[in-house]
Amino acid sequence: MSTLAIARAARAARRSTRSRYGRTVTSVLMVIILLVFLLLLVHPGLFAHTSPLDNSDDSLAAPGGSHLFGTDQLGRDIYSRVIYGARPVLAASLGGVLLAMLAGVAIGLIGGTAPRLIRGVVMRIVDVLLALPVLLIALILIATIGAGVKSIILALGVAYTPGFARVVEASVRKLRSIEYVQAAKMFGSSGLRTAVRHLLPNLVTEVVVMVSSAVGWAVLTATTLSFLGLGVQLPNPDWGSDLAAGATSLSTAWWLSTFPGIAITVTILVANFAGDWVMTLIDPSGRRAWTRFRALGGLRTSLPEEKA
Amino acid sequence: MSFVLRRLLASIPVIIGVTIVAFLLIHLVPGDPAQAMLFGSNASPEQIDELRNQLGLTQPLWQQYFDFFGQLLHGDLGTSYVTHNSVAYELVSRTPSTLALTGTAMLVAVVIGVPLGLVAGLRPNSVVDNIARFVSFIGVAIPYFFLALLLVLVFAFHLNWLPAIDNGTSSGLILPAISLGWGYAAILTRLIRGRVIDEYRSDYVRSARGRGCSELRVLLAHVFRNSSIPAVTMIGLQFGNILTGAAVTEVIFGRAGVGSFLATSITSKNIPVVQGAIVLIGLSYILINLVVDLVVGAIDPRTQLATASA
Amino acid sequence: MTATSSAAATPTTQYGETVLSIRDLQVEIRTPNGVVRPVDGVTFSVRAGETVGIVGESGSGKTMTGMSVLQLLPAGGSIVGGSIEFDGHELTTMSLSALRRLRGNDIAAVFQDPMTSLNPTRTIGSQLREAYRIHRPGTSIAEANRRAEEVLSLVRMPRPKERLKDYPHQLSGGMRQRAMIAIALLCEPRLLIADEPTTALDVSIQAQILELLDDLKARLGMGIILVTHDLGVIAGHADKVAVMYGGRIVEEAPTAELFASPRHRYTQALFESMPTMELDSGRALASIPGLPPQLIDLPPMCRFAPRCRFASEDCRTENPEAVEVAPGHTHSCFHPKPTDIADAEDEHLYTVLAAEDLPTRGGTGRTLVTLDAIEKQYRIKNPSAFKPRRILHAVSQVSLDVIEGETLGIVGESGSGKTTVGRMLVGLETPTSGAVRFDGRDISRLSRAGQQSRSGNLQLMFQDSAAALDPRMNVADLITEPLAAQHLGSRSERRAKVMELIDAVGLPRTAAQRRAYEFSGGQRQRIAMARALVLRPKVVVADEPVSALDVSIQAQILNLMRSLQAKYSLTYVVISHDLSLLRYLSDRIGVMYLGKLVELGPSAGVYAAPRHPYTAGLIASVPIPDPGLREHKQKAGLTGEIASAIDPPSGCRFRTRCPLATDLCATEEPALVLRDGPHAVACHYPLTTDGAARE
Repeated sequence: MSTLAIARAARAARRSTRSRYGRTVTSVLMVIILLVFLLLLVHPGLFAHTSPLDNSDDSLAAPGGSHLFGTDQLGRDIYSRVIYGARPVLAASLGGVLLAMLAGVAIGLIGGTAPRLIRGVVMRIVDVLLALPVLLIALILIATIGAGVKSIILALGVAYTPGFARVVEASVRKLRSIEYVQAAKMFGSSGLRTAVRHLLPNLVTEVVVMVSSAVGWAVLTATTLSFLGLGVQLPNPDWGSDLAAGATSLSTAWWLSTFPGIAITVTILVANFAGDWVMTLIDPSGRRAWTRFRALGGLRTSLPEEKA
Repeated sequence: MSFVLRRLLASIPVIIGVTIVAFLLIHLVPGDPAQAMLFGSNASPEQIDELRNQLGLTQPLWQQYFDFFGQLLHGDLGTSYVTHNSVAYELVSRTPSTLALTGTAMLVAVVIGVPLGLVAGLRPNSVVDNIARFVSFIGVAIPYFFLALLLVLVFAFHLNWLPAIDNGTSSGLILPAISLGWGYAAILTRLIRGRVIDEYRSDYVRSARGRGCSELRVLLAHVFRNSSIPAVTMIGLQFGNILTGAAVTEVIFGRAGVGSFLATSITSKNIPVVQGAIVLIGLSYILINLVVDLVVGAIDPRTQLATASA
Repeated sequence: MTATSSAAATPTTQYGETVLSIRDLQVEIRTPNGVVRPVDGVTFSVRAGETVGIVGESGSGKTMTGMSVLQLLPAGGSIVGGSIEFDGHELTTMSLSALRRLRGNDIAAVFQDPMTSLNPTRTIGSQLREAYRIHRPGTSIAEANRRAEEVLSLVRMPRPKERLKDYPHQLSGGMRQRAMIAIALLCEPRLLIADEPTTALDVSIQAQILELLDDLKARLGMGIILVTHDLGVIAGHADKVAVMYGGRIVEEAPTAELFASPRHRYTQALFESMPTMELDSGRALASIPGLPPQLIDLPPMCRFAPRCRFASEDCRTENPEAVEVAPGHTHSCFHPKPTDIADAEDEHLYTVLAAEDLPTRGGTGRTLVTLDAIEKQYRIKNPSAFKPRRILHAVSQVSLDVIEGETLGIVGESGSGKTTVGRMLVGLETPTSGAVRFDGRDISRLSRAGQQSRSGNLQLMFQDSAAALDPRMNVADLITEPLAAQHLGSRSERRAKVMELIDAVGLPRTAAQRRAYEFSGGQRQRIAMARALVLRPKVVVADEPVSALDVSIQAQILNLMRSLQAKYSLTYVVISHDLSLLRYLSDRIGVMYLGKLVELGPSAGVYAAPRHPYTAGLIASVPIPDPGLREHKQKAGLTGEIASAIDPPSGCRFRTRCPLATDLCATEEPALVLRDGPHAVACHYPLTTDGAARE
């Protein structure tokens, strides 16, 4: 190997060995945190002992004492509302991303393998949807089918599908012309076999990367929608709607909006971090193109291939 | 020249697609448009029928679409259910405010994000770099509507430096622009930082140094130029998101712009307005991306050879 | 064809005073795994008008030596010892700003890959102007443009004024390199450092660029440091040679002297592992076992000792000192090669192959594969908006037979269509017209079942072995994939086959469970070879099988290919740009230019007496490791650039570069016609036997 290559390889090796200890620690932490979020989604009662819907006389109490995060105008415990408010947000964002992934991969596969005409039509539709901002598509859909968590899931799914489809289609097209896929063809591999043994495994990595960066954005969009009143309706707890409700009393009772807001921020942080962590798991050699991809805000972007 | 032409031609099917989506909206929403228009005016069934005929709702779908498209070409975006004014007028009269906000937010993003990214990329793993990365990490995570509230809390209520609600002055633009632009500044920082680090590793930087270029020259004349490409592209791609973010920010700060108008129209099911907004937003997104393509093509002529995929 | 390399053949040049003097240079690159010392005690000097060649394989430290003069080392690299003296100034202690005044001014550099070494987003003109105006402050843009044009003409760039407005990607590889040289020469440097300046270029362009450098050197009185891995380039263009291995110079001598009597065992191994024209194909190439050393924390020793057959205890424990054996000729070897070993077989490194290991030269005579006027056209997008798509004529009307048991070589430069022909042979591309026949049957357009049976007869080794092996699969899976794809053999049968093939290609058995990317280039080629053989094909098409490998590894792979050919009764079609390789390896050679087959005949015949002007020019352009032929090669190469395959010249496609072209060549396309037995040529004015003598 040339000297340059040796130096680069040594640097990369060092990165992975040094962080092997750090990596185990990180992995353990990540798994714990993700478990917490899973529990928040499934069984919030584990963390909060009062109901978020209980009115009480202790209205607009500042944080402290028996009410860790304070209470709202109806005396409801903010802490409990934050814990229970995680559920609709997590359900909406995870559900939406899952939906978009399934639909997007399917469409992308069609787009990448189908004959010219079908591919053209399909990708044009994808282009049209990409031309409209996520929030707008979501708003329109919700305007048509009404508000609620299910609507948000559907809206997010529809809005993020084109991004997934675009990336999958580009991947498939690139993979099809790669030499080892052609070699498989030369051995007499059937199209299906080639797809399963070669295309799909390499596609999985890309999809996982996309999903990991999509979740953070989905949380943002979901909470924006519920902030606008299009998600869970009061009195049910939800971070976005609670944040909106507390906005009017901002100067007097800052805790009404702040804690839900912090909750959203922390969730997005965790989502982004988890995304980075998943990437290091899959591809320890760290192809930098992906970090750039993430920094771009993930999946609705379709930059031309970065030059090597 | 032909590059411009090709990009224009490629946009046309997308534009048409957008109009189709906008058109279909009126038929997806439950409820009869004629009834919705005459809602609250105690119109008789015959009057409703007559209006339906007038609106052309009895014609076959493709015919309606052609009419719709024809109207669009004349700049007629329909009539608002609520005010019965031309939608075009309603939207256009509100665009200056929204554009001001969007533009200022993008300015904030560039002014903060680009220098930060450059410095971080120049000195990776230094103190500045770590600060920049930390700040950008947080910046991506805070939702802009929350940031808006926080900024209002601190700067308007506690410190009283800036107004909490739009008061028509330019100082009323500052807080909304910062809350909206901050997240994109964070994205830009990461993008540019990564790109700068890459460019410094490339062979042509070595060649430039081999010619005797000073480090300053290398940065300005070579690295900066090539690093700016993804930034420009990102702005174009995120424009739609910035615009809708502006809509939400307008609601928070009580600004009268396209955004808040659109929000209320959606909840009140004022379909023609929504249609018009879709066409307008979609069109401006395509236009912005066209401009971005041209700018990138001017900076990096290699992209002129490769047509965008699909 | 005999090589008379004596001092008489070397032109006597008056060299000027010493321009650069490097003494005991040591360079380190700090990596977290330890400190790499790519340069460990290098000493040599350069005089004005002299070309010093530094030759070595990858990892030898030759590039780092060149880069250290201008301190263009990679991140973490620094000079830690020794001195570099230029014009009385010590460069190692110079301030950075003083160094910058030298860069591009008194000392200039030209790098290997002009595509990445030029800023792709700025015009050639702007980069030229920048280089000039940095060192001549106060120059106006107009003046800078004038100087830029002047230098572009100096480097023989066609239409220099228009080039100023072009971007790098709009130029061909050769033109880009000329632009780089122009940038380097703007301020008339006293020293030029050329790091593999022609490696990325086609052979015919390579010769032009090297000749240009020689000419410029003479005109400007520069010293040149020429860093390369190619001994042929060294022989043709260097006045003095330093052979580097493991970060040290192991031998240094005037060129003719070095080629006449190499003393260091590494130099000897290098020479004997190259397929030169003289090499008797009855000999296997000398292959150097093992890999070059990692330059981290090495104890005192001769760095070549682990791979040297003649190494002894002192070689492994002491650093050898430089010994002068002739004026200007030093080496550092404890057991150098004796000066006269013509008959001492055991002093040679190559081995003579036993008769049974040699494949039957020329094959059995039975035609196995026929290419029948095949064509391949691609439709590509037209950059102008409304014009119809344009047609790329990749392969046009190529007909040839492949004889069972032979090795057929197909040679051509970029754009010749040779790779496309290879792909059509195995079915990766379908001919636009014409047919590929195997054993008489047409196999050009097959169903999948047909493709499966075809793959049992014809297989391909891809050019890029890294991309041809799925990084997710381990070696065992890679080798058995063809079997699995066709559902052949039980699991245990496949396993047995994998082991058999792994042994046959010389890989360790532990390789089976490892992933492809863990292996070096040479080992990857072995894996590719094993995979190609698993279906027991009759024909193996090898596309540039060794071009990405170091010389010593090349020899290993070529030897392997030959032994496998004998063992499995294979027929090879070897596609390459390397004429000397094909001369050694193949029985017959076909020469392609711009999609057409222009010459076809027995290798020896094609080489000794080429009939087509292109072949003659190609042969003349190939750098031959024989300094004695330097004089003869002047001006014998090819001029001009390869024409475009989208709009090929009418009639004979070579006519735009052919010194013998007439009007007939423009109107009528010459057909491939047999002349003198099995030697065919497509030319209206084929060279006769005496016309083709080396001019």
